[in-house]
Amino acid sequence: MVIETFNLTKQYDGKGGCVDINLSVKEGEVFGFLGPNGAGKSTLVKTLVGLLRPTGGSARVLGRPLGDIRAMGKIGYLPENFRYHDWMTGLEVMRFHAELYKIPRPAERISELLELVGLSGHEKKKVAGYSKGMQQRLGLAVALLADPELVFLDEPTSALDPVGRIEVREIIRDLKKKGKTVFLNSHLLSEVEMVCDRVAIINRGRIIACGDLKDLLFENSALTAKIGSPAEGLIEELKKIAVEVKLREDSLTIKVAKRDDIPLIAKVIVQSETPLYELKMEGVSLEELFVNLVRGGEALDNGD
Amino acid sequence: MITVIKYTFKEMFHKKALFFVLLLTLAYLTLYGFGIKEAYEALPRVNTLALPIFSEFITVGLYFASLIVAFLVVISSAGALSADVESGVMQAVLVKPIKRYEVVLGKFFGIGLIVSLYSLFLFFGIIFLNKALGARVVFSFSQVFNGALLFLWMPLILLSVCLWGSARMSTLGTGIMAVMLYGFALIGGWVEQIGYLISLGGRSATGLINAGIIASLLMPTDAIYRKMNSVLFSSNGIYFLRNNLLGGGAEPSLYMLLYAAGYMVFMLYMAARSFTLRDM
Ligand SMILES: Nc1ncnc2c1ncn2[C@@H]1O[C@H](COP(=O)(O)OP(=O)(O)OP(=O)(O)O)[C@@H](O)[C@H]1O
Ligand SMILES: [Mg+2]
Repeated sequence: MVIETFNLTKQYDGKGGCVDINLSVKEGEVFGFLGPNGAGKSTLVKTLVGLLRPTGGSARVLGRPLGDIRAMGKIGYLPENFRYHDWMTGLEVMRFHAELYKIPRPAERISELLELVGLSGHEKKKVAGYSKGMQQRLGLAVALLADPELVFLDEPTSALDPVGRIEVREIIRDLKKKGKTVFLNSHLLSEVEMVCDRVAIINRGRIIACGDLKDLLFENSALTAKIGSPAEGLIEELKKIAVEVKLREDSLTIKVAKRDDIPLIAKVIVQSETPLYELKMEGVSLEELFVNLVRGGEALDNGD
Repeated sequence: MITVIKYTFKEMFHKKALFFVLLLTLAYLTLYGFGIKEAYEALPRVNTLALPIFSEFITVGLYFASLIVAFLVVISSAGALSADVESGVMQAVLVKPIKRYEVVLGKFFGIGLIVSLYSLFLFFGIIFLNKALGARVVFSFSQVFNGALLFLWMPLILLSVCLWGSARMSTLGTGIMAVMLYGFALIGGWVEQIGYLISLGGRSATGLINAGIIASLLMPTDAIYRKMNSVLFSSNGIYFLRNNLLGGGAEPSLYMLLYAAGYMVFMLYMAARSFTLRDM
């Protein structure tokens, strides 16, 4: 495991932050960490990179305790509020961070990365004169400087133009191809859907869903069947296979645990001699799933 | 840590503070040089009468020079850590394979190096001006050497306090704290000296002297300044500056010097500790 957390908690004077986080991120995967504003995403990432001291629980990153020097050399981090010494030029910022990483002869790597993030030609300008997007691109280059095993990106495209967003997506896919692990904080769901293998959703400091992106979407999808009047015992029979069955007038909503259960459902309905007019899988998008979970969480919270 | 020292050093030259202080210094040295030139021309030729007066002028010159250096220290170090934390620049630095105490010490050595060079420049500038403009004082090598070391020690003590503040507070808070402590030490020095002068007259002034000592414990810079005076201006056991309000009086004890050394190390330790525990 590249990242493992055990009830990791970071609160500010007993409020906010993130609470009881149990996550594990495998080597080589792109992990998406989603949540509404103020949910605790940045807090968790800052805790994992050693900027914040946890108030509870523990974690291991690259097999080492939080903030361990040996792990830090193999980690790249793009902060949410990316800021770099504005009296330096872009090139000087890169050299400075290369020295902090103790990279021998970094010149080639630096120009390669500046090219990658689209800053070549601007490297001799003072960072003070960079636009927000240019600073974020510089931050991305700094995060990738040490050819890190694990990269934390906290909303890496928040200041980027549409082309920049696509470029970042490609960079992330490239990192995955090279076997690197990426921890991506974002609330741009379409972006996450395109690049992430697994996701966790956090709301009000607690994780409310976590898993393989495809599984999560499937679990929250349902079959709808348009039927005539149901034969006796059909519902009971379906409940043996399905997770949840609801009948409303001429329409059945059925949740199944796995894809292979769908043909079984069809067979049961047909064999019961209930007329079946239509059977379709109604998938949810990540966006729908996200909104349902987060809204549901609020209702739950307000209830107690 | 070398990297932090190097870039702290570079950063000082990119900020306007150093340039501003340089202008201030040049203006000061010009005025001071002009003043002592006029004064020395009017002095009697007899050495025994003139010698204490030369010493007075030199020590006053060094006193105000030390204020300029203190000013440089506060403006360049109050934000050394906090301003970078506040702007967010520090976040990207601290996720590197570097310990936080290395950042604190790197800042100390980087700023300390410039401040030391600056102090030496001012110290020898004052001595040189006096020599060149007619002060007939003779310093031995060890007097100048030890005097210079004591002179550059003062800002380093102040620097360690500023870094401690900067490690745990805001830039503004640190600046206010440093100026207050330094001012307290200055006034404490005067109070102690007034107490000393009163006690020379035969009356008891332990209250004033104790107040001065407490001020020195809170911030030992003024004690170091008095030690420097006694190093520079005593010869054959005679000390010329007993009656000077700015820095004569009782020579600080060895314990006070040891205390000052311990004070600086403790402040640096606290700076490193506070910074290590700080949430970014
Ligand atoms: N320095 C701080 N002091 C006190 N509370 C804080 C601090 N930083 C964050 N919080 C609180 O912790 C919670 C989580 O904040 P965090 O920045 O982690 O959210 P986020 O998920 O990254 O939000 P966003 O999407 O807006 O970036 C919020 O309720 C916030 O108010
Ligand atoms: Mg955030």
